[in-house]
Amino acid sequence: MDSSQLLKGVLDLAVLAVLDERDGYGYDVLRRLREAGLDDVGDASVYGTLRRLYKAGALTSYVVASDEGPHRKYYGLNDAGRAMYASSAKTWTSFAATMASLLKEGQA
Amino acid sequence: MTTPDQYAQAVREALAGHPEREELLEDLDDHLAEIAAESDVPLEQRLGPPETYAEELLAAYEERSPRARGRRSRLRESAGAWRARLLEQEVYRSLTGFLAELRPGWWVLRGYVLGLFVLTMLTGPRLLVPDDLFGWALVAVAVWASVWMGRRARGVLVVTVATALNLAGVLVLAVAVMGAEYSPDPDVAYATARAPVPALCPAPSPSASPTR
Repeated sequence: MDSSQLLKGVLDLAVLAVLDERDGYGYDVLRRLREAGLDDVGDASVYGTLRRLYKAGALTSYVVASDEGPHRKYYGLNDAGRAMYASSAKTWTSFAATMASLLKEGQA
Repeated sequence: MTTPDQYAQAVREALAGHPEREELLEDLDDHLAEIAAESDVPLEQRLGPPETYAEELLAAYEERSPRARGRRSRLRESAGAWRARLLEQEVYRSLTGFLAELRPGWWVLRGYVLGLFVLTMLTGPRLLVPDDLFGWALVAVAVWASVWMGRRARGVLVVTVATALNLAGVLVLAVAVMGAEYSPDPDVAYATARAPVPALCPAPSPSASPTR
């Protein structure tokens, strides 16, 4: 099964989870997703997802000046974002448990 | 080698015409500069062509699959372009303005024709006008309903019903006109011979045949 197809449905949740841990800028979010094992995730998808979550009012953003490289725009969860994260996480956990038990039955 | 600026510019061009482009690409330049700073591998090699990047970005932003977007938006774009080109034409503009002014007239005609059609189904074929009080009342109600509908043509349901009524109206008119000219039906010949006006619904279904 192509994991990039699966990823599409849960990229929001993955980004929310990374930002719940601590605030991050675009490339930082991407790197942390990859470090967590989501190798297939694309830079453009993460960037687009961040912009959409921001537009939806789930994120705050602030710019941090940097001496060497470019300025960095950090994103973090606000109250709406935390509520969205909690509810999506619950949905995902229950869905994953259902799938796991379904697969177990199939293999038995 | 493509610089972050050039790459960002190409992405910007690929999204030309998108209403939220500026909002969407607000921090793209900084983001790409960040990526470029972390490795010596050229951007195109790491991120793919800017057009693909733009499509993937938009898909994530609008939550849909990149390929589906490509086809649909191309269709929408070309439809929009055609409309814009037509609107540049003076003739098209005055024609659409003229048709809009004709609308109330069409609502009345539509109601009248469909009312007469229903009357014909109920009591048999007749000429262009109802011949009794009941007929006139029915036609009047149909005209009133048709105009009411035309004035309120908003919302999916009303627009759908209005479109269906328009089609029915045009169909009945077409059948009536063609039937009046070419139908070999003796009833019609008789009706036409008796009165100079053409019969409106000259080809009645068996159930609606007049009793003679």
